[in-house]
Amino acid sequence: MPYIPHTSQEIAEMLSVIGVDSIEQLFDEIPPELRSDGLDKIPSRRSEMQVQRLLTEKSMQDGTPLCFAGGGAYEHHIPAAIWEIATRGEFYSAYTPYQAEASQGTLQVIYEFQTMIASLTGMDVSNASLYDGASGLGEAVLMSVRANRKAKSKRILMPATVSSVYRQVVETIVKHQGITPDIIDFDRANGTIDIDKLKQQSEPFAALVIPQPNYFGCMEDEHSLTDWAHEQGAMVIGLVNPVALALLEAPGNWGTQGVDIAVGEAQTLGIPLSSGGPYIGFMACKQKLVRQLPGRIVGRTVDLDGKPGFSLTLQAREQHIRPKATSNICTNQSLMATATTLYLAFMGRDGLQKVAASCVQNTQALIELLKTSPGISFPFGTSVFHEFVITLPADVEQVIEAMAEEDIVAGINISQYYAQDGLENALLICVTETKSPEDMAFFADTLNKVISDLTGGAE
Amino acid sequence: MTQLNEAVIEDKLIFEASDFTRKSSSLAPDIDVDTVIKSLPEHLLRKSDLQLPQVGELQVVRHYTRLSQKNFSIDMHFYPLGSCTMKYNPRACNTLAARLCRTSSHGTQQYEPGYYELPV
Repeated sequence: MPYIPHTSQEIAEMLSVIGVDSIEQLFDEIPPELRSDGLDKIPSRRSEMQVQRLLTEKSMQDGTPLCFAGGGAYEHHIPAAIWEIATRGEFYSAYTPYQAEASQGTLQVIYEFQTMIASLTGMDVSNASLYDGASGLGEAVLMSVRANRKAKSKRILMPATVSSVYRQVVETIVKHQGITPDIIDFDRANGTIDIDKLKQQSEPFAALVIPQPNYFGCMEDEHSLTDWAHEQGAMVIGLVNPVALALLEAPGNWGTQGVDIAVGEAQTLGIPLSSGGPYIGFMACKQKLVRQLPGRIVGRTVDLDGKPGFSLTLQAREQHIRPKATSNICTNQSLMATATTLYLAFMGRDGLQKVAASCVQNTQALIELLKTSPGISFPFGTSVFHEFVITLPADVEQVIEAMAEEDIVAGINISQYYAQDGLENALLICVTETKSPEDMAFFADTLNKVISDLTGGAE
Repeated sequence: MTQLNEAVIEDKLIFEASDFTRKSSSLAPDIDVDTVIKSLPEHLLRKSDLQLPQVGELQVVRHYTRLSQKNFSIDMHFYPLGSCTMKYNPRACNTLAARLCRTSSHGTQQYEPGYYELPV
């Protein structure tokens, strides 16, 4: 049975209306040598029942391991109502809001999303969202160079405490525009930006990126870093975790002036890990930079009858309007923004604070358990939000593999990114509100056993 | 087609229903936030107001369900606008994709045989 269920009579009527004899004629402009004979690489069709059975079997194969991996993507509890509402047909498909009259629902949701992001970050204005946190950081770097012409520099100071994966994405996005992110080393003793090396920078730069919490889970000294960069005539890009912002100061209030651009990953707000995507980036800035903000912005207005309504606004910045747009981004992650808005509405201020506090409490609880583990050390201390680094007395890859055998995703091997920095057998561990005391005890016991097995009981 | 009853039109923002004296959420963990905050560096704590809506679960469900009714959508009408996103997708695509893409499947996980063996 074909998926498009038109009758031959309906097809004939449609062809007659547009004055074409056959469906084949619609493809006349494609030269015969470019036509495909069929899709022989696509498997033959199966019924919904067969596909359902196949995918259910596949999903059961993967089990449900305990996840202690973070590094930019975090497991949080997702209230049941979020995806029940976000997957309603009215939101799920029809999310391109070019014709405002047909999309008032989606436009208001995005407007509420922007308001929530502006509040979380303490900034004046937010866009309608970006693809993810990493590409969002790339967009923030481009924006800072556009907006800070006074600096006469296309150099960006990029701390090594920003995720290596993010740095690679930024490099890919900006390198062909003559923009160079210069890596600032980290302090080996506390896992934060090496302030001495940062302050040795004598050449002008357009912006400094400050990750908070940083990739190691450690806290940067956001206030003094922001003030220092502003004194150098540079802009500040705050790379933040929106859950942490329930407890940690908003980037709009860092230092005496606040950051110029705040950016980050909002997957943490109601979006499943899903093996890596789809996720959602957010970006907010000061009012004076609004015309440099990439992507869409939804505004609230009144119609001819004076009734409130919503529409895309300041579109002169956008790609579909003019060639010199602020960015190639001419869409947004509407469905993910809908889920994010629902998450923040369900949680509210108090709920988000509790989620964040629970992350801190659980992380400290696991740190306490691991402090007694033989051979494990904490190279950067334990003053963290919901993620921390340990170094192991055994090969980190082997430890991760052995933990996986016990149905635990132990964390991320960060030695693969920091081997040249002398960080050997280092594991980045994340604990959110989803972990029970039993989960953490199981993690610690299993890790101790795995290390003992791998080191022949020497530790 | 005839219409049975008038649609309920949402004309408020979610923030307008907010009330910070309301304690109606069972969605977040039960924890004393103030005790935990003491373990974090004082100078990094949030001093600025956090203006998120404080609304009960049912109110949130109603607000966004009503907003959904302000969209034209392919489930209700012919939807000729847009390019890639406006087609009808079989409901099973979403249900089954969600079954494979679970909250605990982290992108850095080394091997998820079921996930990576698709398509077969």
